[in-house]
Amino acid sequence: MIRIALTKGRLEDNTIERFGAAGYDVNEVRHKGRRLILPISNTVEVVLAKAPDVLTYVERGVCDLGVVGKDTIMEYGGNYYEVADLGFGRCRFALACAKEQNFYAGFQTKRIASKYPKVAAAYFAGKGMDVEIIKIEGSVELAPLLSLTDGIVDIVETGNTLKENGLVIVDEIAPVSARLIVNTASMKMKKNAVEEIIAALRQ
Amino acid sequence: MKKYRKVTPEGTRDLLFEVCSARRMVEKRLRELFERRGFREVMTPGLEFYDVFSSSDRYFPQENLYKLSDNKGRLLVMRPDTTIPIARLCATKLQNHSLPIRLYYNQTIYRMNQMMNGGSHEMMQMGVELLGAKEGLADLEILALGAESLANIGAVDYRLEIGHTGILKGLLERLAATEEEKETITDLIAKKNVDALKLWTSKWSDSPEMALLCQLPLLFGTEEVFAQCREVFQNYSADLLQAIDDLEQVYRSLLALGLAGKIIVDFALADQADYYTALVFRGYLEGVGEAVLSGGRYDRLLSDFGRDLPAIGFGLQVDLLAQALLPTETISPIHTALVWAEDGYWLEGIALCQELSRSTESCELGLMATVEEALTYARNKGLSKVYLVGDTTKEVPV
Repeated sequence: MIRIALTKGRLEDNTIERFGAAGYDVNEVRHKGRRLILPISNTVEVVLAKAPDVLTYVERGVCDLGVVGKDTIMEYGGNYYEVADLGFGRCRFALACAKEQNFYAGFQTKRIASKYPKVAAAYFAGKGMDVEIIKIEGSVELAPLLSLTDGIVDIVETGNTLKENGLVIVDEIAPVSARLIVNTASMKMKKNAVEEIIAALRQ
Repeated sequence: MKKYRKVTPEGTRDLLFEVCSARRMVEKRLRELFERRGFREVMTPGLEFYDVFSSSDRYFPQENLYKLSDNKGRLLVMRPDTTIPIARLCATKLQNHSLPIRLYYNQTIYRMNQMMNGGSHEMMQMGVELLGAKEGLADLEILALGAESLANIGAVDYRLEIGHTGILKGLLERLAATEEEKETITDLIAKKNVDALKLWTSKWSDSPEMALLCQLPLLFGTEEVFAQCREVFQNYSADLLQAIDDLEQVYRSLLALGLAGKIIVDFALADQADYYTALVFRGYLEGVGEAVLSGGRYDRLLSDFGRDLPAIGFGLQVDLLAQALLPTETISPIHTALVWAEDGYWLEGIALCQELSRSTESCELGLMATVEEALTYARNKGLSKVYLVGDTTKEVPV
């Protein structure tokens, strides 16, 4: 039996579409109700989970594969193979600040709001810049608007939310898209079955 | 402040009864195996100076080490590994020992894991090190012993995976890139992240080395990999082809030793400790989500400590092995009898316990006030008989 963990929501829908196109039986997943583990063939079942949990299940080996955003991989890290960029769920990490502001001006230590404190810290550490990072759970755009921080590090898709709140992108940090990850032992112990799924999802 | 009084620190756990028995059973089997092959046990201190590990900081990043300082303010760590302390020990204490040196160890290591994902920070490791022997026969001895260790656990199917760091290192040496860039490339290869590797390395698009590096993560599997690998590397360089031949030679020898179906190959085993220089290998058990064995040849590690000596070894994750063993072994209670003494016959009771345990029988001394309580207790605990000690000693079945 091969188990693949999918990040609930859009990544799940995109993945299921590809499974459907590759000839797997995705009917049960489409009409899943509240069930969280669903078969798509006699040998493959799908597990629906929150993004960071996908990493945990795959790393600990209770799921063999997983589909998760690069944003989550960058924030949480972990030990698994990252075998394919699936191409959907595209967006990017960006640093943004208020339109009228010059982010890099002045000598004050900057304050950054983010839902992704590790990604933000790694970005500024790479630039050799000390910053103070404030973890925000909801709409990060609020923090600079309320003058809590000088800028934000967040995922940006169309840029509309930023624009409507008077923020502009200062730096593009990294592109983000859905990735297929594989448990290190499953890759070796179940090579053929795992490669079959990689091929089905790559298309 | 006593709010932490009732819990153990993150990443540590109490081990009870059958979990302990399973761990001890694994240790006993491996210990017997290693000793029968002429390996002798060493123990190294739980605390070492940070300096011992600081040169391997890619594999032992400082944020993952438990650190403390001694009474002179010097930085100490709880040992995160045993191979490096053994290299230190061989380069210093065993200078005049005849070669080769065969050692084994059975001790805990400590590695902090930042993610709260249920992984242990305190791990029991057992392993062997064969020092002062060049590749060839010594490599086969250690690989065969690794396979035997996994087979010895006996519970589930296993695979032993072999690789060679020479290929990755050889390609990286010839690539015009900074150390930092090479580290990123190594990380991407270790993650088998071919898409990112191709994208990230586009600036080396006309480098033959980079084209080969991008293929490396896909070169894993069984027998067929050698042919694939030769095809990829033909016309490139003789010394890398030699490394492929060497590995295939090892592969065929292991098959001839009766390990057909158990050996797999990966030419991109890159997330191993960075002190490995040539042959590297890992072991997997069915149903366990990570490698349970990891090892390799480390011919240059000892020269860090001032002695030039080739060496090879491996370590096993005892806790993971025990976990795999646990559901398949029935671990019965250790003792089978209860000894209950009437008032006034306490000393005779103790004497009988001593006598029984000198023979083959194991027993527990009953501390109950009445015979009835003693019998009920024995029944509940699944003991097979009760000795009643008074004027005379009677054996009563339960």
